Amino acid sequence: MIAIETNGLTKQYGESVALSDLSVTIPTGTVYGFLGPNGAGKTTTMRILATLLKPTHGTAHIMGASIENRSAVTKHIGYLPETPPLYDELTGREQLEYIAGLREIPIEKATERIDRLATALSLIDDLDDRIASYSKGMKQKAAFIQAQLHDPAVLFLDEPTSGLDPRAARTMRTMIDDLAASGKTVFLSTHILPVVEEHADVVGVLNEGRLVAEGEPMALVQSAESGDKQSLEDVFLSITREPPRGMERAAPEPQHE
Amino acid sequence: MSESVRLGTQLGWTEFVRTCREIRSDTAKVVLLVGALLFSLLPLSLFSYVFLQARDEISIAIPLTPELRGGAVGFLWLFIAFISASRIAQNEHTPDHIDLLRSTVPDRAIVVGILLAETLRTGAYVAPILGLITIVLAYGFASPLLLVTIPLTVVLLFLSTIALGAVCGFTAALLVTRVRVIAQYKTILSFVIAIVFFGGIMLNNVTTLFSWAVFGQLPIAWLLDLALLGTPVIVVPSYAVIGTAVSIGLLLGGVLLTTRLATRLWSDVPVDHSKPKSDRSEPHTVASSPDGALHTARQPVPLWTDSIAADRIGTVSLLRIRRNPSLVWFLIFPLFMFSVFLGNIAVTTGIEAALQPLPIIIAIAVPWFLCAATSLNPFGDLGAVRPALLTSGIGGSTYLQGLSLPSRTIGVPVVVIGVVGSGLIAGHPLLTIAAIGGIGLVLILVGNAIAAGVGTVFPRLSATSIAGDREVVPPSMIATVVYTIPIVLCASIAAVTALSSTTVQQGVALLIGTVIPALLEILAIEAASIVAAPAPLFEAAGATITTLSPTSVWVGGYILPLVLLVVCGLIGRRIAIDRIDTAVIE
Repeated sequence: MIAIETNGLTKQYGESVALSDLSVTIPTGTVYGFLGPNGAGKTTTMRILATLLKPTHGTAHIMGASIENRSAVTKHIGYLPETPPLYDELTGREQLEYIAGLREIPIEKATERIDRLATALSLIDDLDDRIASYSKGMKQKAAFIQAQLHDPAVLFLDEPTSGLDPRAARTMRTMIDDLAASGKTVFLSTHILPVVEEHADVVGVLNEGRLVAEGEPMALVQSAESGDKQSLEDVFLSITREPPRGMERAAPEPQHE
Repeated sequence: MSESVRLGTQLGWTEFVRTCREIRSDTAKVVLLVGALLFSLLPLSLFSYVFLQARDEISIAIPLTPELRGGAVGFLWLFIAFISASRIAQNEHTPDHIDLLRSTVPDRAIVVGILLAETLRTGAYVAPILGLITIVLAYGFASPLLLVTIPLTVVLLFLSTIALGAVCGFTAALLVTRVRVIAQYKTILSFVIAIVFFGGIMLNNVTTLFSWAVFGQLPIAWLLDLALLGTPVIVVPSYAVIGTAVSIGLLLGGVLLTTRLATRLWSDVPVDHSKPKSDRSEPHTVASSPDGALHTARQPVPLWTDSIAADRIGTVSLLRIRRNPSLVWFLIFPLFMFSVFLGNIAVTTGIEAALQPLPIIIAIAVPWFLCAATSLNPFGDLGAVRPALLTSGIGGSTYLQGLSLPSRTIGVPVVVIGVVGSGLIAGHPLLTIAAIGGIGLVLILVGNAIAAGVGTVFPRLSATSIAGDREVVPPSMIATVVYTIPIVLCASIAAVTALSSTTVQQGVALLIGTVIPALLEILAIEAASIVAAPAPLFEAAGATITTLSPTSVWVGGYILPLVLLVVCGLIGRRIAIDRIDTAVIE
């Protein structure tokens, strides 16, 4: 089954093109590594797929539901934005119960999932502390749990390991693998290329709003033109390198990523 | 020191330019500022005209007395110092990117920058008025010296005042950082201090507990002698010198002391005023509570709804305000004005007279406050949580329902008990009390919808203008005004009708049947006689109003405003739901 399908997805801000003609098809159970330099359009793409932004042109479907229909899409997705969406005034547990409540998850079921996921991410002992006292990594863990409380079929993760210590980052990567193994689809945006190389089934590279390469990580490395490319990082740098001075560039994306 | 002044001047000017750009980007704020300025300049211009016409006929060759010095400068100096201290303590004590600044320039330069920025902000507001006064006086007294002395006096006054305010403000901020109890109750403490200060002023205005002469004994008040050098007013030159020296001394001392306080403040780790871990009950007893941690934390306030999502939204809205009262600080000032208004009546005419409008104030102010607190800036209140809410699948209707729960749960009993209690004590008839209570209940019913409708049309998403306190995103000024106008206007008309329908009938008849025709007649004399043509129609309408039956007056003065409020609520609800359902994150 197809989890994510986009056709000619384009987003323009006036004359500036943030995303141009993106067409991808991602089957269920896939970890899709979404790469690109700053301002390439990764966050714009994720926001469009999460129904938080309307495309200028093109269509997209998540688990068969059009992104035009927010209520149909949102039950299938979990979204972890780059900035953890948490209230400082609440404790971690209150925040997670809040989001579970918005998803109409009964409290017993919510508590079970919160405890299980928090234990896996070593956040259980801090759940009753105020989020204002959390470190960046703890906030990231809480937001990661929050994104998958309702057991979504598709997870959009924007820099999920940002701010995590090595042990927590490894745990999260393992959880991503487990999610894919259980049939979930993970749309993973990150700058940490070894993570993508190790965990992604398919990699898409976005540059200046265009999808400039797509394929399995190993295949991308092997198909690189130059024989001295040794890693995904080399391929990424090669694909997304700055054009020579004087060459035309697409207009810069009018937002930060 | 000179290096700090040079660098601080750059910092202060940059901060001032940022403030100007921030104001310029908010059209509503510009309109309000220009309106307020015109409101001040127009009567001042009229007064200036009269002064220039009559300057040869009046004698102002009088000596400056302590009363004059105290009233004109001494009291003003204390007032600005208090406002300045409040601003610095709450928002302006730590500039943006303080770590970058501290690793680049000395702390003293940063302090100079803060003081200069505050001085420039204050100066910018009064510059047009000050300019007009200076020019009029210099021209009127044919004294070019005033072009120097008046601006110099104002600059010295502002700098010394803000330096004193900075010492007080930084001290307060340091106490908040270091003392757990103060950190925990800072909003309540701020409110109490404001009540005491403004209440003291009000009391002094009414009872003249302290003569203005008391403030005139402050050497800083002697700056008035500097300002009026070169006029027929009899000044004491030595006072002008002392006033100048004292203001400069206060400025220098203020900078030195503030620098010490600021260094401590910026180096401190704030105390954690949440409950220490050791004080908590077993953490997992909360988790194992059958109703969940949110339900437990919300106690003792119940929220009645069948929707889990609405319950959670209402609960979180309530908890956030309870744990961070500064979220509703923007609503405190109008409530404070109500308190001052009542206090003023109580002091001047007795407690019984103050109780008369109390039921009305409760019926309007309580719903106004509660509904605005949760619903006037829905998108801004969500902050970073907005993506999580929008992708949670709940609709705008559920979200609005959730926001309405706290105001209904708390508002209904407060309005009923407050209006009935104060109404009975004030001696109002039962029908009047019921009618006023009805106004409060209608407001609670429709207030959230009006607030959310206005707040989603005029949202404020960023707290960048509130330096050092980024967790608070108050509603936009225009949203607050647009929300307040229909509520206060309609509810006030209905309330006055409930109190005395005859007064409303006579008042409206006077306005329509007499005042408007009279104005049209005056305009006709100045412009064209055609303007006066509709005057007889208004007079006839006024006469008709006086003959209306009491029932008709009640329908027009009480029912109609409430119906209008309900219509506003329905429109607001539709707008809010549409905007929330289709919200995007650009």
